[in-house]
Amino acid sequence: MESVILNNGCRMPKVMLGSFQMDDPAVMDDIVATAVKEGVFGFDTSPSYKTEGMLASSVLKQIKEGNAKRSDFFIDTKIDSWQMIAKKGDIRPYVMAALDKTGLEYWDMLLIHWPQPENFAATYLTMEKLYEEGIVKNIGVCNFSVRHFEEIEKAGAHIVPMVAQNEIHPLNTEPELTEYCRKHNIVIQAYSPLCRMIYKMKNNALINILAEKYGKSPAQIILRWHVQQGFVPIVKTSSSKRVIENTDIFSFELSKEDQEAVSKLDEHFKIFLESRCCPGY
Amino acid sequence: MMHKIKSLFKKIIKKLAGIPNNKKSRLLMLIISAFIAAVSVLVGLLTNVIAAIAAAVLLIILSAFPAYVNTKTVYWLSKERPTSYFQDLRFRNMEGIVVGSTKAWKYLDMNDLEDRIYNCTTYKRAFAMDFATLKTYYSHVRKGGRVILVVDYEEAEEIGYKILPRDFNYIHPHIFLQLGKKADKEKAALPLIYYPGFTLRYFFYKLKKNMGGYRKGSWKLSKDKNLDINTEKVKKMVDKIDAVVHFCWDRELEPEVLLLNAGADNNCANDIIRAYFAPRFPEVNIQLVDDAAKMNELIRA
Repeated sequence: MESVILNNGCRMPKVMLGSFQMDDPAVMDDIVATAVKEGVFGFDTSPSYKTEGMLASSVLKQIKEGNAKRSDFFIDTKIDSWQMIAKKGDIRPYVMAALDKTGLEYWDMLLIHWPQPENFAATYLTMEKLYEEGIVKNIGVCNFSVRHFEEIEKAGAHIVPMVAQNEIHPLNTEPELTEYCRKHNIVIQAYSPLCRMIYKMKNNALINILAEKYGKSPAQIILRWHVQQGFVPIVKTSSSKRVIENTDIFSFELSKEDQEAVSKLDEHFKIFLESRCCPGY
Repeated sequence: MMHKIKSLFKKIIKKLAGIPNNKKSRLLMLIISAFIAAVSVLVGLLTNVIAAIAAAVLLIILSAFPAYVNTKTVYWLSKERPTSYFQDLRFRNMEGIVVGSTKAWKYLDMNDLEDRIYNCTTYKRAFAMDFATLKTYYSHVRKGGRVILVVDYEEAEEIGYKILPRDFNYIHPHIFLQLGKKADKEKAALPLIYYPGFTLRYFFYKLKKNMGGYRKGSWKLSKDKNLDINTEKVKKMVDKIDAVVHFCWDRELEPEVLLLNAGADNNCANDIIRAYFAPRFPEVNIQLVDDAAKMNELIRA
């Protein structure tokens, strides 16, 4: 699996698998096993998904079976708003407890899940300390807009986040954020990269025309668009067949015109509304 | 003797509190049924069968009415809560959002506005909760969209900063967490017992609203102004509105403040509020509103 280079020199897979709303350990085992077989080692989790333990268990199983080493994997986790509120930003105990509970030696990436207004800046400063101590290999942020980056800088942050994870797909391309991240060498991870294949995405005429043109599925077209934009899509599926399909996106390339045409589908449509997930965003 | 009675009473209450809720309801139904039966029999013995039946029917209606009011109130309040953003993918990039006073809840005419304006008005909500509501729902509005804040000074002063259990259902739980508050599900489920005045007034106003009682009306407008108003309290309201205005600007939203003239306090306070904002923020759209027609015209603009 191809990888991108973060602003600290670390490598991150170009496609990752999500675990949001997964609740069956057997399915998780199957997904992780298939992913490893296909050379996909990037996974995303969070305390609020309640999949940290399940994912870690599946990963450790693969390591125990000799199919991979710990260093092959790239595992994201996050700090949730309630944790930031409870500890007023001093989230170290939660990070250490999660490592103990999961048995992973370190987190590859620790992200702020949502910029909880009163505590996200203090949380980021704590994450910088965890990064400097080597407890986490990389730090990043989710669901930030440009003013949130400016706020952590004003609060005294000295480490540029390695990653920004936002809801990005052809119906919401976030040009302002993309421009800011490119300027500051921050890699963008895209969650809900397929916009959950809601009706208007699944039945989009352009996407379906391109799918026929390139002989690929609509999902593969969209994921290829992400990769060519420089985004790292985090795609979630409970089907091994889809793991194989969704990660088979490096054997073709969209033309420049087709890439631009997909980008023009932007209508600022989001599934995850910021204030509904993070009041006062 | 009194001490023994008090102690016995406390023991009974403690025992009753220990009974599971479903058994409590059954026990209550049993007691009410027994009471109705006893009274009907007594009426029958004293008068005749028809009178006994009439007494029984009347007592049943009277007994059922509180439960009906409570159930209907909880149901209507749950329906007034905006839709779940996850299940309902409509209401994105709306033109604006309106939050604020009970008068707005009563008189706002949403006819043809449902696709344009996100209605977050509700009955008897503290100003702090209106702000919390805005913080929870503003993302439904497009960039550069409108935030219409309807301010009723007298109502805001009357309610103060009381947070009601029903607010938990309406706003994001992290706001409660941040405030160090806890939701009280029992109070939210039994508003008639814990907030009888609020519940009864809400029930009858909602009934009137559903029957179109506020469609063409307006609130009472006084011609007086209370010149002895406590200006310190008005200044506090100015600061609260100021916070909302800055919140909107930071998020590239356009605030519009509608100050409702009504009673003498409102009329004077609104003059002070508008005078405060006018020179400091000439770009803040702040209007005095005398009646519901004007309010609807400004929201519909």
